[in-house]
Amino acid sequence: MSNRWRLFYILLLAAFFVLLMSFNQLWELVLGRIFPAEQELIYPRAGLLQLVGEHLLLVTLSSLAAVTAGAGIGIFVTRRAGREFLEPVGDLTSLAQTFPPVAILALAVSSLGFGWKPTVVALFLYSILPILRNTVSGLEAVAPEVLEAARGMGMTPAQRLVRIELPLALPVILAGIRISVVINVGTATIGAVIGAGGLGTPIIAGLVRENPALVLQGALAAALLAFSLDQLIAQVEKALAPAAGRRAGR
Amino acid sequence: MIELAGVSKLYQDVPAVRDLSLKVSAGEVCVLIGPSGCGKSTTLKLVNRMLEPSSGRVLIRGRDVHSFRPELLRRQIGYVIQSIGLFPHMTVSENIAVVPRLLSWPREKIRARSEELLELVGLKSAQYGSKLPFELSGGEAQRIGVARALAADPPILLMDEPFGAVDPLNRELLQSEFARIQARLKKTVLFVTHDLDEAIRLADRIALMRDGRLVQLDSPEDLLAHPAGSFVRSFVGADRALKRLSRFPVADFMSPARAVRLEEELTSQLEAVRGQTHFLWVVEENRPSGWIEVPPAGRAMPDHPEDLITRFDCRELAVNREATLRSALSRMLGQGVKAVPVIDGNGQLVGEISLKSIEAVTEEGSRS
Repeated sequence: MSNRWRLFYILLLAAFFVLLMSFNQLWELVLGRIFPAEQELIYPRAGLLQLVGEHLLLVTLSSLAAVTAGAGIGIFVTRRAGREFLEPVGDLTSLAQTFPPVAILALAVSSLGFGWKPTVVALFLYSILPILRNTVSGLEAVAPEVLEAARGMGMTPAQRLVRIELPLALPVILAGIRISVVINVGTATIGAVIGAGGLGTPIIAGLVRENPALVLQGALAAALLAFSLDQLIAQVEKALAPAAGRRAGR
Repeated sequence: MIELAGVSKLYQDVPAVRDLSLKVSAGEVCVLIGPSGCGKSTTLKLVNRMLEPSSGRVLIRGRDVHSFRPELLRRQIGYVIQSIGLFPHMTVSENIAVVPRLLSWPREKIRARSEELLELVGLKSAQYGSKLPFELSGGEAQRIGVARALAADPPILLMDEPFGAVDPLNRELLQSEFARIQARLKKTVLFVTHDLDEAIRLADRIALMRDGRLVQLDSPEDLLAHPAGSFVRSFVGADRALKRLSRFPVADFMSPARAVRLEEELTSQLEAVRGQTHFLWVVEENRPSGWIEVPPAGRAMPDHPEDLITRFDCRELAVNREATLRSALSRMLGQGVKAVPVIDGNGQLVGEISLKSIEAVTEEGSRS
């Protein structure tokens, strides 16, 4: 698939997504079929598009921070100066992952108050691991003879990183980002508990009012958002690393 | 051009190279050889500061390598390693262009240089320039490795077992191509190998190492003729006399060949040389195709002198003038003859090489 087709596919997917999110009658129709007893089939206080916007803000901010930190730390611990931190950093991020996100959220609230800020912090901490892991394994997977050749030809450490190591590790790093973002979209629904908004809002409202239709509405919308973002990053992956795909024979 | 002065290298107090001194002059191919773990690769890597010596000095063109920044030093020294290390995400042209780009050459000059180098190593630039490394065979990849090392026309080349991972057939091909390129470019080359035949073939001088020390530094001929001590003797092997023969090209030892032309009348051609020789080559359309024994003077010339001709297949018996005495000898032994014809690139008879002349070379070598 050429890059032009990739762009076309992504725009089509985005248009379809926006259309779906604004088509209230369709949601009512479908949810009404599944839950005929419910009076209220869609969340009344905010449109889906607005909730998606809030959700995207949470995901984007936390993922951007996680990419910066994860890739940055990953690069640092694979340099000669940072090598000794490789193991402790790996252990620490694994530990962060074992912490339930709700607990991180609760802890963050105590210092940052309610709203989107503690949610972004919790999501950020939770998103680092896959990115960091993949950055490290992508960089470590660069063949030693390639690095020796780069050094022997007179590249500085920075040139080796930018011209050789990062391009070769990019597919693996992007795969880590993709996993991280998809998980992040799901996890971000818990932000609604502390008033961060987003697609968790109808889920929480549905749980409080014992209305499964609202729960399903939020869950479905979040799943669709996760799928769309997954596709977006997958296409970016392919567009940025064509050589990596053709290298399959290696 | 390259000078190592009393260089030692320790790895955690274990010496890999001990007090080694070596000078490689401009345009010379110096081959470092020895059993594995003898420190030959370590020695090579001290020159472009991939490793730093524990003591002693390394100089190139009279300047201590420590007066250069390592990156700037390495950009003026070509470096070829056994595993090649082509950059998998770059095309062949981009791989060759790496050092010129580091040196900020103009784009047009880089493009022209990359085409020139591909042709030099015997690959068509239109066909190979845009390939990715995974599409290349082992031999092609190693050629690109050499082209990449030569890209910025460095005066010095360091080659660390460059042909070690290639199959024997391709290795020989790469060796002769390297010899051809080196004859043209006259680089100063420090070459590491564990293959004695390769060393004998390519070296102007061989530096034999053992346990980090230089054991003998000599021309291949002298190393084989006068091995210093039992270690060198066993390293070069009992067949050193035979190996030594591969240093000598046939062209330097051949004698003029006398021949009769099959297209002309035989009897008169034979009469003309009767008494002077008893053996003549037979050429047909200027190509050797047999030999003829000349009846000694006094004996009657047979009615059909063609019957005296022994035919042979030129491809099996004749040697090229660029071939070595070793291959000439192997032809003689294989065919059970005492002389073989020497031909030029067009297959024309240019001389002959005899067992006697080869014996003269081996005697000269064993006189020690």
